[in-house]
Amino acid sequence: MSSLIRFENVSFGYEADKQVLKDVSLNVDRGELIAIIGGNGSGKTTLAKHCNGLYKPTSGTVTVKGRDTREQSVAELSRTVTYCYQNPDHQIFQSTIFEEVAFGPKNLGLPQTEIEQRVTEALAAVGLEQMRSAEPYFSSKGTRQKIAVASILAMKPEAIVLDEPTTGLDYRGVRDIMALLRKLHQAGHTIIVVTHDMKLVAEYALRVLVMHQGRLLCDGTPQEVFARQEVLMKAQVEAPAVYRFGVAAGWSEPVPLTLEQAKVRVTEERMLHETRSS
Amino acid sequence: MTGQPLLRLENVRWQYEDSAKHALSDINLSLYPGEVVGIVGPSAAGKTTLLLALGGLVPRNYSGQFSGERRVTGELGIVFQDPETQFIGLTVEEEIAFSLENSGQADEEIEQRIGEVLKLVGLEGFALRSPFELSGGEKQRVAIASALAHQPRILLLDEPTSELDPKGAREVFQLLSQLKREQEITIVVSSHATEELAQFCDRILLLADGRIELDLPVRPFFGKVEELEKHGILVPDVIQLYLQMCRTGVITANKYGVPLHVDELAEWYREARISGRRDET
Ligand SMILES: Nc1ncnc2c1ncn2[C@@H]1O[C@H](COP(=O)(O)OP(=O)(O)OP(=O)(O)O)[C@@H](O)[C@H]1O
Ligand SMILES: Nc1ncnc2c1ncn2[C@@H]1O[C@H](COP(=O)(O)OP(=O)(O)OP(=O)(O)O)[C@@H](O)[C@H]1O
Ligand SMILES: [Mg+2]
Ligand SMILES: [Mg+2]
Repeated sequence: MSSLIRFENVSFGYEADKQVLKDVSLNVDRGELIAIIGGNGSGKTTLAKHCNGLYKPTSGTVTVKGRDTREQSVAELSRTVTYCYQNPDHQIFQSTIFEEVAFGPKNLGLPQTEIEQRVTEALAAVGLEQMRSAEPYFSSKGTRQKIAVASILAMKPEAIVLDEPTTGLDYRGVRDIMALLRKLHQAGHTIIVVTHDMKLVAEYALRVLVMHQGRLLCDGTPQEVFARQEVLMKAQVEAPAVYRFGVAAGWSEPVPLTLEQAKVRVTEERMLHETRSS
Repeated sequence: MTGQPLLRLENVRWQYEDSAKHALSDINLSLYPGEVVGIVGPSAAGKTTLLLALGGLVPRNYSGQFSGERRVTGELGIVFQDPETQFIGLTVEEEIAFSLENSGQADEEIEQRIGEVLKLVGLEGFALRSPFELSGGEKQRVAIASALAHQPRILLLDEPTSELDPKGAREVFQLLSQLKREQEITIVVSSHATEELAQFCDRILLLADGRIELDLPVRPFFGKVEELEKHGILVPDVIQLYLQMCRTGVITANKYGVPLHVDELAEWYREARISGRRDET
């Protein structure tokens, strides 16, 4: 694997005297699937916006494919890394859903047929193909969230950074988007997702970054991170319900993280019980 | 539930202008003092619209066709789904003060109240910050603080914890339960987070296509697994795990219904193991 995005001692403040990111160093390789978690105001969005140059560090450097983000425009960087806003209304401006999703590909200067195909694909991926001529603004919050994600998908960047992409979606919407991200990941894309949903982290992420007061507090697999109670407490998060159940029930390590794993454990336990009592 | 309803909708139907179908149909709903009522439903089911109708904003502030009756006794507090679009204050303090404008309180009282509600939502030290220059979850906390400030009898919240960190979300729900108990207020909260609703609500509504499909106390509500799944509602993992345990005979079905949170299932599981061992010997 090779490095795609690298943070070296990155600090950043919206105001001169107040650091919001503090000395963050990390490396993202091509093809990773990463979740960023942590309390409100811990710096997740600020960190995410550094990945494609929307924000530039006050000190330290962020490099994308080895080049300093200070030396490139956001438009240029967006071909490699695209950021999807936490609030979809911050990125929705066009008068139809089709136009909205076509906006990015048009800016890339793609031919019309390619634009058409990408928009169709992206809308199908989020289940909005029927609504292409509808007005984005009057749709429900969940729909607006899907429009925002579709706009990013249509850009087909190497790496996608999504800031709470499942907020406001119903369960089917959440499943659809996560399934899609997994598919993109399998096709070789690098995916970084900011989320407060620990069930999703447990089910989808391969690596977890935990933010706390502007610092990278912990970096590990979901299994490693959820086992560290003191880290979770500090970061204002909690392990998924299934894991907390496993701990409370006294299940042996590795404590199941997902419902599927827990169901397997229940079945194994039952079989063990039967062989013992027969 | 005892006493008179604080808020009531009777035979309410509503269609937004330029919309081909009804956003609400045949809504009959009574809300009593001292209950936390959850609203679940798939996207576009009408959760926001129902909350707007409960708050009287539909039809007052929207064009469309309304029929039916709304009766309300007591003051309302509302937390909107997109709090940011409602902000008008230059500072967090000012934002909250707007909701106290007609309260007739003296300035010192207002200031004290602002301090109290900011503390309740974990935003001490944020009074002089601009509400627009906050993180997503911090904005949502400001909106909750504003709605709490004037001590409403009825609190309507539209996905109030969607951007909160897990600890913050839990604390908000704990706070709602506490307000319900101590002040007997009525709380209606929409959310996709069924795990939290199961733990903290007394009663839950399932809304689909503008209609109330289910209106039940929380435990029987989450017993309707098939119906919930049919409407695409996430059945909390704790309940799904419990059902698997019942199927495989690890525990026997509880006569009161499904477990509503992790600790409950853990307790049932430990009891089953103890009695299982007793049977063996
Ligand atoms: N535009 C801004 N101006 C000044 N301060 C800001 C601005 N945006 C965010 N902040 C502050 O920077 C800190 C980090 O904010 P950030 O948005 O990165 O947090 P976050 O981890 O994404 O939180 P959330 O989970 O609530 O979205 C917070 O304390 C916040 O108040
Ligand atoms: N201002 C409006 N004008 C026209 N139609 C609207 C308006 N607001 C909502 N609708 C429509 O009314 C229906 C119900 O929308 P509503 O926002 O109440 O759903 P919801 O259950 O809150 O969805 P979500 O989970 O996405 O927030 C949807 O079909 C929506 O498109
Ligand atoms: Mg954020
Ligand atoms: Mg809504």
